[in-house]
Amino acid sequence: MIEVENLSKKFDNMTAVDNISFNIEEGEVFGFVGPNGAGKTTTIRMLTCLISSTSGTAKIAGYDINKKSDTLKIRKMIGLIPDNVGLYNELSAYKNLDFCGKLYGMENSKREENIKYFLKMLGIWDKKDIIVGKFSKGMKQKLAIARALIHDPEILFLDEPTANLDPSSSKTVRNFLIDLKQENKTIFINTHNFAEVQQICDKIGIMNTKLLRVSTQKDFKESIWGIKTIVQLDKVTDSVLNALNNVSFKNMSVSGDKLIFDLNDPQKENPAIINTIVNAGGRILYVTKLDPSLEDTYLKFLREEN
Amino acid sequence: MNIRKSWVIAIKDFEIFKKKKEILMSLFIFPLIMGIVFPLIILGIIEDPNLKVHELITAINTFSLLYIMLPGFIPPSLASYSIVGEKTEKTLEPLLASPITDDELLFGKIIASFLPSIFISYLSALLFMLLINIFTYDKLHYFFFPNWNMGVILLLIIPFVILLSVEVNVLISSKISDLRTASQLGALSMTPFLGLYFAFQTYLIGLNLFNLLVLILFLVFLVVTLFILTKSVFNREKILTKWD
Repeated sequence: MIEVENLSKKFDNMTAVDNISFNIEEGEVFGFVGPNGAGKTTTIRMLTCLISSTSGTAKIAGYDINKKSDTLKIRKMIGLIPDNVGLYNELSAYKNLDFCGKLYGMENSKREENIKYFLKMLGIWDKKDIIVGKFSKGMKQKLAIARALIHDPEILFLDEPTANLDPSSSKTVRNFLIDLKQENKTIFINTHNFAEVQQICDKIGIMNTKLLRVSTQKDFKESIWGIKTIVQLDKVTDSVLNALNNVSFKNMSVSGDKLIFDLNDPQKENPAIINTIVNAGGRILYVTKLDPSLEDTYLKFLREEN
Repeated sequence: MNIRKSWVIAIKDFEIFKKKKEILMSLFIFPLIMGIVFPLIILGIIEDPNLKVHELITAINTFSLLYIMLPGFIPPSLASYSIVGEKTEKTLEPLLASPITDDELLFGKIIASFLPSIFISYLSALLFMLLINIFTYDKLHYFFFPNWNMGVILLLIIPFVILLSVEVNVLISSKISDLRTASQLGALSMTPFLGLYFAFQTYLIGLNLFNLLVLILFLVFLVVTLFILTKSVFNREKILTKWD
């Protein structure tokens, strides 16, 4: 659905985006993470045809962002939520959506139907006639999402959709995005919120001017931490440690009464490890898989990169 | 170009102008002064028993001719909002991300500033003519308005003056990132019409059919050239990235 190849953007002498390439499949949710100034917003702006690229190409549903004749077609099929909501404070919620729907050339009946559907779904139908200037940040963000979806776009671009929202509003927005994911929408999210990425995204891209990594969350975590099993024992004894010398695994470390195994193939190695410990008289209190948070993984990754 | 989309943008801007007190004030104050204060000045001088009829007519014509220039000062507050306002209120990015062309956007912004300006100008002129007729009937024994001169000014000159003012201001608005500066520069851009006013007032240019035709052709040329210029200097990318 989105194919990016060697895409770059320079502003005068400053390189904002440096030769990035990645693909996003239809129905996939892609989380773009990275520090401030990493080029995430610039990437979204190039993909939504708001600014031109300096070099490289990108195709949105087969349409080329660099081709002038394709830009209107791309804009028709995408929805954008910029980092600031970009709503008209003087207009009511209904009129904001109505204006947007008309710009996309929607038929009256479909436009009215969609406005009603989204405002009801986001719980702001009863406030449809109130001017947006009186809305809370959370309500504005919900309305910005509704605006981006009003014309039934195939692809949704969100730039920091939950920034500056309170936890409750963030959760509402997140749940809504999960619903959209189930509707098979392709979603591209720029975010600093790792809880959001962890919960919603199928794939992540780590950006710092260059695209440092693109992978699934699972692959990313495993590449940084490895596949680890933690076995908590009542007491680590020499007989247990000696017995484990005969078992095949990548590595093992001891931390108090915990044994931490670095594995290649957990399905084969875990049963062997457990059997060996039990046979050597070890008393297992619990066995867990090491599952660090995405945020910890990202920070470790950045430390290693630096 | 899809005119319907331009109209959608214009209607949205009308709604916003209605809710912005500072825009409404600047929109109404100037024309109200023209429509009420000028006739009141005439009312003041008409009290003079020594005033001759031709002196009164000269005074009325002097004020009438101001309608060549003054309507040009109405659009800056509206037109300067057009791009700068969208940018400062952070609404430009989603607007530019929608499937509208530069032509549709700029044309919509021109309609949004042109229609209220022409409406207010005509309202002011109507008030001016009505009050002048009421105040001068006893002295002149006929209704001074409507007359040929004012007809030409209202129907041929004012629309062009406003259109030019709007275009200059939309052009400035798409190049300047500060609302106040855009508005001030926009007002300054109307000074050539001051020259036109004095040219008519001092009979340097006579109000005859040929001169009017030349003037109107020149104004048409300016209107078209300015639209092309505005379109060519309108740079979405620069507006989005340099004004951040």
